Amino acid sequence: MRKINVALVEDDARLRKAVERGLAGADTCRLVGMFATAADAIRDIPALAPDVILMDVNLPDRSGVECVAELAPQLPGTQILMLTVYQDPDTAFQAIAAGAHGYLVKPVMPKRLVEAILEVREGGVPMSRAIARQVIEAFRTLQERQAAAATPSEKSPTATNDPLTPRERQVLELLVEGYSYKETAAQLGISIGTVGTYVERIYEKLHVSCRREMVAWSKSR
Amino acid sequence: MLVSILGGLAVASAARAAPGLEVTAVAIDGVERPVAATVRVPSSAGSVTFAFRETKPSPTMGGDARLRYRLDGRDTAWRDLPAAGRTLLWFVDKEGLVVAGLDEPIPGETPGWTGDVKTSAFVPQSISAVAPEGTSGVMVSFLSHSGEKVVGCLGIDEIRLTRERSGEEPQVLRLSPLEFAEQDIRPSSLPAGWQRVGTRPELSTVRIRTTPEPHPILVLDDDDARRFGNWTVTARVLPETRPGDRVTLSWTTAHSFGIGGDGTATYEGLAAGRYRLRVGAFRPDGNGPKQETGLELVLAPPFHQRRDVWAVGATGLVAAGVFAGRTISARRLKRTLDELERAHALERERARIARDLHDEIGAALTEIAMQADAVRHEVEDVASPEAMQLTDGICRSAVSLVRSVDAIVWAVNPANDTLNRFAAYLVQSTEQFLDAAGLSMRFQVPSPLPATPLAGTVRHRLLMAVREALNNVVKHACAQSVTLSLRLADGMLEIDVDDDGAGFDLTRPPADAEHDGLDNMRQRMGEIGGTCSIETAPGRGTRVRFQLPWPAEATPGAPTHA
Repeated sequence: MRKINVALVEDDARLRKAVERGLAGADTCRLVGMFATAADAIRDIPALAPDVILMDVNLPDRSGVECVAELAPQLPGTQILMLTVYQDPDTAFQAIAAGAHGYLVKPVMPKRLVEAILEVREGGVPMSRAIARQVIEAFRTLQERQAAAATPSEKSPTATNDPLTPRERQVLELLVEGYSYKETAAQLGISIGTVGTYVERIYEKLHVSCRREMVAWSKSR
Repeated sequence: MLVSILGGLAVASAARAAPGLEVTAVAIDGVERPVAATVRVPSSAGSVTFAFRETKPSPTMGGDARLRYRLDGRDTAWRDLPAAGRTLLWFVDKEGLVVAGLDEPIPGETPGWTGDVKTSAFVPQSISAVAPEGTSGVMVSFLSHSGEKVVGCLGIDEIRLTRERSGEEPQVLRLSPLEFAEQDIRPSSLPAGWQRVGTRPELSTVRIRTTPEPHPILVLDDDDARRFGNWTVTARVLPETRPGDRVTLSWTTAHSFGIGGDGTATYEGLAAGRYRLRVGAFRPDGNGPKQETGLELVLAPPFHQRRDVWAVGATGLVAAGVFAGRTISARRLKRTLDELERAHALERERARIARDLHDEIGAALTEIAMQADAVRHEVEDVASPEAMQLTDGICRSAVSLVRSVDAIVWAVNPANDTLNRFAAYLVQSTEQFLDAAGLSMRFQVPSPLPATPLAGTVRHRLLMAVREALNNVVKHACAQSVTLSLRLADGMLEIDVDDDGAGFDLTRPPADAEHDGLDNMRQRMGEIGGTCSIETAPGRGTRVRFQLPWPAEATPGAPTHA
């Protein structure tokens, strides 16, 4: 099986070294590039088109979140995992809204790092309970804002409809209540893989909604 | 007699219910100081921030005032808090969903604003964009909203929409003058094609502009800081639009926007001297003030520069008697200023230490944890069980230290000073901790929670107390599942940690380690004026309940002075 190509963006040299050593021992992954600044990463990573990017949240020149916002649209086949020292739910959520697929709170042991890379590659898109909580809030806010801007005739049936299907919403609500993927799967009588598929769709809808809402499209005037 | 009694009651309750203004907070270099009629500040202060609000018995009662402020001694005119309305030119798909769009702010006040939209000068505006893929129509909206708390007045006239398509003549749709079905035009009349929407549609009105000739125009008359009006013309009325078409919206506007409810003002680089901060309640269209409040601000020069202090030393005995009172107050003032400066320095130092902890110690500990883990894997086959345990221990300690550092940095950051941020962090760190311990978990934490202020020290103690409880569950309870719940009820913030573990006999003294844990929780809660209670019995699991008094007005929906 082809090895998973991984790129690392991390400003601390010690941690770059530690991740390099950790991935060197794994026969499933290969480190194809290491970058210390967002500028380097934005310039060089698109050409590498890695399978997975490990991205530090705090970079010296720009934030890791901005870096994700630049890279994610250029690399649709690449999964981005955020690495963060802060257990900062807001930053993690912003990164995910910008196009990241998950986050790991440092310190991440090499074994866990490799596991996470494999999981995200196999479509086991991770979503923590804390993030699920913020995703629900984000959809709620988006809906409220659309409802406020929409005309009464457009309020039904399409414009203010819940962007999530009832099943997706069930998955999200169980995660918010603290259920794991396994428990969620058991509760809904589906496989863990299917839970992952729902989560992936939720992320897609989140990215689309956030882009619709936030991305300044005004350049064309 | 009865009439006069009722009259008296009405007057009393009207006095209580009268809208008012108050300065809610003063902060020097980001550190909050008590609000007083006179606030003294060291001249070394880099910035002074005031928070103020309109106080009303109910946020839904009456119209909201527009808040303006000025610092006499620095400002020569009233200042508005930054605010704007918006113009939307939206491209929509077949289902009416927005594909993309222009969102143009209508900021501040137009030159020639007279305080009345009927007589003000109108300024031309236009925006233009090319319809993207998926477009089947356009939608135009004017909103008295650009975020929170906007109040003000906006008049729109001479609205025109132009569609350019390659190979065709430009098509122009004139949306002004407005057309009405009825002869008698009132503020509530509906012009053909337009709709009133927004969170409070009745804020969208029709008025008669007097120049060049009297004619009706669209107006947003917004005296509601929490809600907004929106004049919208829907896709059905407008020319059919395809991807690639260029659409241009032009109009003229006269407007004046400000902020209602509450706000903050920051001044930097103030010279020593006396100032007066004034906060005024204006009508939404800028007329007023109808009410005013304020406070004195004294920036004292540094002690050694004060002539009056030296003057006392140089004066004879007789003069000393005259000046004695002044010297004493100068000393007292210096003492207060010194205290303020010390507190300020402490705050800065704390922020610096937190940053260093994060950058240096956090990264180094992460490295130690990863290296210890690498050693463990290297020596797995050859090392003694003791050596393995030791490297495991190094790894675990380093990981737990990183988490502690993280919590301190989080608590010191003033950006996290609210209940909703606390809840988000609590859920996330609990999840991390219980996941690592292999326990399953349930959360009962309402969403959304209000952004009620929660000070750093309180957040940190509360967090540490809950962590202690979780730690006890993992170490002693033999539990499989933990439920964390948080609620605001009966003037209390209540957090429960329930486990389904072994429980224990409350009447028999627990083991030392457990005892310390319980003491720690009680102490941490005691320090912030809260309590910690335990419900348990052998075989029945354990519930640890943390309670913190929560002011009634700080429950959902209450304004914060941010």
